[in-house]
Amino acid sequence: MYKDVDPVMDAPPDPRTPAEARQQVSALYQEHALGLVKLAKIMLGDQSAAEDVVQDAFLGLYRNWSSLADKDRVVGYLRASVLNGCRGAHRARTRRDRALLFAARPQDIVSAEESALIGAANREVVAALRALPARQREAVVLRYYLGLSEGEAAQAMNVARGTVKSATFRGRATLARMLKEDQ
Amino acid sequence: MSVEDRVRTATEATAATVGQIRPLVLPDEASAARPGRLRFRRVSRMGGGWLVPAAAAAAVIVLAVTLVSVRTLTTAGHAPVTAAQSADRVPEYYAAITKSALTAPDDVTIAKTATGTALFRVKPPAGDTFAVVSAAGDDRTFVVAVAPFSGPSFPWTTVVWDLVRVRPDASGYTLTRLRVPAQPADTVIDGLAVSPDGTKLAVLSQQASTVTGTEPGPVTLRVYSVATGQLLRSWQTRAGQIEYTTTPGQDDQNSTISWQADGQGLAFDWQATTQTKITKTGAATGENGPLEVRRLDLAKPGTDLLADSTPVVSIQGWVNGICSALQPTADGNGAVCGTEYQVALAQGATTCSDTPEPLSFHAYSGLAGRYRVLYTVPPAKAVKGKCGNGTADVLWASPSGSTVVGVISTQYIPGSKISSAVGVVSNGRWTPLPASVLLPGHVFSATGFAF
Repeated sequence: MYKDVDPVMDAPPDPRTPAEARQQVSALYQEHALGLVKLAKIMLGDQSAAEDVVQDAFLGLYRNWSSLADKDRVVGYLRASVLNGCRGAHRARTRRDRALLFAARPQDIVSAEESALIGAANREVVAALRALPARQREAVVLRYYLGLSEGEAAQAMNVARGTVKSATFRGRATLARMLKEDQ
Repeated sequence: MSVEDRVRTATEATAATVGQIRPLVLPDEASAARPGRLRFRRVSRMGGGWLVPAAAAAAVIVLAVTLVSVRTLTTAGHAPVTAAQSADRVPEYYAAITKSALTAPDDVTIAKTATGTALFRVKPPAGDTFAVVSAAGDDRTFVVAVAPFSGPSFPWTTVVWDLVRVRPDASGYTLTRLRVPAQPADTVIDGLAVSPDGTKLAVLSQQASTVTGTEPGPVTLRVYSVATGQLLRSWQTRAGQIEYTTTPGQDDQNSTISWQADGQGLAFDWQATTQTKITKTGAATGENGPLEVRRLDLAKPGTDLLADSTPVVSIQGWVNGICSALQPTADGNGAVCGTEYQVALAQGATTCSDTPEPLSFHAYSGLAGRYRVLYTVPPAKAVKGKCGNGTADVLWASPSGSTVVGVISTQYIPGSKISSAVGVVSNGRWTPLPASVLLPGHVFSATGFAF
């Protein structure tokens, strides 16, 4: 089972969005946005883009609040939505970089301070991580950074549990090869 | 330290750099309820498709053959364009942005179209990477953008230009740094085209927006002399004339420009928007205009990109599939494109029930957006019940648009097996070209591939 459609973002705006949705979505933002931005920044490397993706996810949630059948799963929706947004942004960036010569915007350039905080070795690992195919990248980050179980990662990625297992295995193997090559 | 531990350490270090984030901006109730503001999104399905990175990765060429690393810097002249070369025949050679390893800088491979044989692999100067390539009409001359290489997920800074010229007997090539001014770091380059005679370079660019929620800068089309780097002509949009984009400062991914076959005109695609502020939070208002192909006559004066250009194609809406990218044809009268589809899982379903739309190549002409189908992939290849994604991309088109070199890629989930093929479309038929190989993770794009 694979789902690349974002259940939140891809739905049309719902004119029945209740007024209390604003309050509830804002509260969810206070609680979960920072963690989701961190996840998106790991995926994309750019905090501004990461915040855009997370804003999009919450906006989609707000627009479709009334049509969400299971509001207990809203965090899962948001996580899946952020992953989907990162997938699109990463793809757009890679494609754009190759197709259009994207010259860096100021916010894309990692500051010297940030660079020092992360460290050369870690930057190398994150760069290799971002070079992985999307599914492997997501599986590795969800399993090793967020510490999700295979089932939880499968839910976030909208794939079967076995897919998470194989993607994690392949991602780890590719990373090992890439990091060894670079040493 | 294990790979897992290295990933944990690195990701936590990266996450720790995130401090303050901006507050949530929600639209007011009125705008939240406004249906479908973006009624005609050129790249709407590109961002949602999972196939794109690997998709037309068929365009990545085998590098196992003749790896020549000669780099002779000369200013040898180019061969003149002949009538035969400007006709509807597929060029003899092409250049592609290729990669020897995922973490390596990109190089350029010159290959023979008919056999798929790689003739030369041109390595970028130390510390740089090649980025985008464009071909002249003499079938021997290519201009390549060069950017500093800082890793596989680099943001490029300034961009300079190199000229790759295959010797007439194909025994080698020359690589020359052009004097065309470097593009500044706050510029997005939307299109690149070398004139048919190889003497001029056209660059379509846009000043990036550095603040989310603000308008991108004006779009500028500049024509430079390849020999001297001198700026020959320049056109620019005026304040308020902005093109539809999905993200401020990032123009659509598929803007293309083409020289007319006689070298006296340029065509570019354009989709105006009345959105006053394009924000990632969806708070924009306004509508997008039709997708146009506009033509500039170099013999006429003027510096206004829109006022001094003439629309030659206007498309109000897609028919039989959404174009992945619109490429103006060299006759200055039309455009060609390939379509794309995405069949995804409905909420709560376990299998996809829809049959994918057939992929096809289209030609558009006229202000009424008249279109004709050049070729449709046989529907027998579409697998009902499986989630899938497919793209057809135009790599090259003859001046009239009647002959096209394209790549068709499909992927079905589960399994994720990607099927790609490069071929020539002519007279409603598809003739495969010798297969390429895929380098996992390598990304294809039409402007990473030049005939």
